[in-house]
Amino acid sequence: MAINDETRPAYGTDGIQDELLPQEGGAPAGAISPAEVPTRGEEDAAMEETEDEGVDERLPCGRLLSEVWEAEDQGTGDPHLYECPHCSAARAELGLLGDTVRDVLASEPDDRDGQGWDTTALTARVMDVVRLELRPGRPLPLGETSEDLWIMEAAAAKTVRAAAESLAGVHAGACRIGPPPEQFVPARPTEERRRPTHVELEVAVSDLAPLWEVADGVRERVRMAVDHELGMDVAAIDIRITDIYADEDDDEEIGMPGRPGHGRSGSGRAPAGGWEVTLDDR
Amino acid sequence: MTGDEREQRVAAAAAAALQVQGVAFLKPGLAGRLRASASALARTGRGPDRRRTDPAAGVRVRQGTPWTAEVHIVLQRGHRALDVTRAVRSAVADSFGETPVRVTVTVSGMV
Repeated sequence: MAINDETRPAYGTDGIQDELLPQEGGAPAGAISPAEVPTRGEEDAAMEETEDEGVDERLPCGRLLSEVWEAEDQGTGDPHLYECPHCSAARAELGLLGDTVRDVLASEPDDRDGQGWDTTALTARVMDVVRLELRPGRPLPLGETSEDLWIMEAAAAKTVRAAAESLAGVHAGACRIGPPPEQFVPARPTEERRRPTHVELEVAVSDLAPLWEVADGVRERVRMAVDHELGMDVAAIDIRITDIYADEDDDEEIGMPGRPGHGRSGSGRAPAGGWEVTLDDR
Repeated sequence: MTGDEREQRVAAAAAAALQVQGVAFLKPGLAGRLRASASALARTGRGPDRRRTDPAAGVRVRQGTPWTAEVHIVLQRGHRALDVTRAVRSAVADSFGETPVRVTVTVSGMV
């Protein structure tokens, strides 16, 4: 077990979590020193490049979906858009989306004070969809090499987080699933990507149980879920405790394990400067 | 290969994948997902509007030696991802009959 004095933003590919975390210069600062993980910055840069390329959908005819939509909006009259079945389907899909938006706008407001639509829920749902679409994470291998079966990291992370939160007092945060960080090499060939994966999960826990006990419990739940619900081959599951919060019935401040006097406020957040506890499955 | 042939392959592969237990639906495109999400909100409590969802949105087929079929599925919770993807792979391969095909199956989400 390692206790670090700094808290670093998550570098995982959990889209929602990452979106909320500050990052400087495109590469998050880390509690893990560059000397320990020299390829992390390269990994992030490579992932960003890959994601930039992967954000837009390329149709089988070679056109980008964004180009087709833009041409449709601008009415360029490009004959290809009408002759190509793929572009025609994309244009039709855009038309249906527009119809839906118009339907929503034309329907009755859902509030009772006559102020119109509360767009908060709609915005949240749309952003959930966009995040999942644009930040699906890595494809992770399922089954044998010859089977060519995959699961996207964001989908697998949902299962991992749900398993962790099945334990009372545990709140799951960022989750990274992929090759061991120290072995990550950008632009790996497919065969390389099929190695057993490595799970890194951040959790906030209540102060009612010893950290090692909680970490072991989380690890066991995650291991069972990954095996029973996904069928994914996992080499290691590392649990990073990033926060300890007081149970509502417990008003006393909590000292850091092994660090007497380093208490935190009753808000349940880590002190300025941060701390974290990592319990590696190695 | 004509466009019709490819379309038939796509439709057959999509139908085969959708028959597999544990497949909620095939991964729709971004527009389809936004549309379903917005529709669900407008039709409170009745769930996503799948009437307009393209059933073959998550299937791509390319001719070659062998043919390749990429299938993106959304998994129904309670079903094991590995078992479902294996079943989808087998079903899609069967939909090609005697034609050799390399099938890739990816779980893109869960509901």
